[in-house]
Amino acid sequence: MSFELTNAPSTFMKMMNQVLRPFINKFVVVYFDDILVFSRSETNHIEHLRSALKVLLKNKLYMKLKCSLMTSKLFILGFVVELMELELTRRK
Amino acid sequence: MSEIKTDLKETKKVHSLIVKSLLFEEADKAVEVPEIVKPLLQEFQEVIPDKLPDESPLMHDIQHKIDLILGASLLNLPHYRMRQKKKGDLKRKNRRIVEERDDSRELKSMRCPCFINTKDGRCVCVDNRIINKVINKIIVGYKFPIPRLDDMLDPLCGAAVFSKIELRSGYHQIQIRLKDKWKKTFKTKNGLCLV
Repeated sequence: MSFELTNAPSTFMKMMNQVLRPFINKFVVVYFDDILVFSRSETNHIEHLRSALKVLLKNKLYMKLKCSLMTSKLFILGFVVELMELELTRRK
Repeated sequence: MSEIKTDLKETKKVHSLIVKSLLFEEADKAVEVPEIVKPLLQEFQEVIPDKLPDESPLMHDIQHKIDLILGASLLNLPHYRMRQKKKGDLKRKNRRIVEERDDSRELKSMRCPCFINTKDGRCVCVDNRIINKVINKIIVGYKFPIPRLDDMLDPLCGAAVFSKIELRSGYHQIQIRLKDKWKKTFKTKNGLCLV
């Protein structure tokens, strides 16, 4: 499927939601092709990452090498995510 | 530096520019993989391939469907001029294309012109301008609210460790519903093609 088609984003979002449904809002947030994994501690985080990657492998979805993994501060879609707080950046 | 200093004396707007560039740098730096995650990435190396595999994506339960507006007339546009060398590339590129061509002889199609994009002729492209201007007009658009990002980030409260995974050319990892595939047919000098 190429992205310029009408309805492409909605199909994609549906597919991502279906694939990652068991984890959504527990330790995963999905926004189109971005998957954000969050946890309270590092040991949990490894397990969470493992289960997310397992699902991707099972569904033959491939990820980019350039990912931010296990950070305490994350830039995502114009937001900066940090412990217990969320601040909006000017970055576009 | 001296120029900046004189600029600073004249106006203070320079400050804001510097701050922004630093922010960008900080965001781009965050690609280093920490040691603890490395074994995990080793374990799931198949998910991070150097090159996307040639096979078509898995048939998920959710496939992309293309519904056309009833009574809309199908496109029929002439193919583009293609250089002799590139014609060879197109033929070589994929035997599947040629096979499909024979099947699609009787097939009604959109008949969009296509061209070969890259220098080595790897990529066949259908002209996006035509897709945007013409095809999307005869496709039924379903209403879909884009999720609010600030709402989605609420469950993050209390979390301390984060990871961001980006899918690689995400939209290309979805199949189009089988019976809708003919709607993506395009036209070359050698005939109709389906990819």
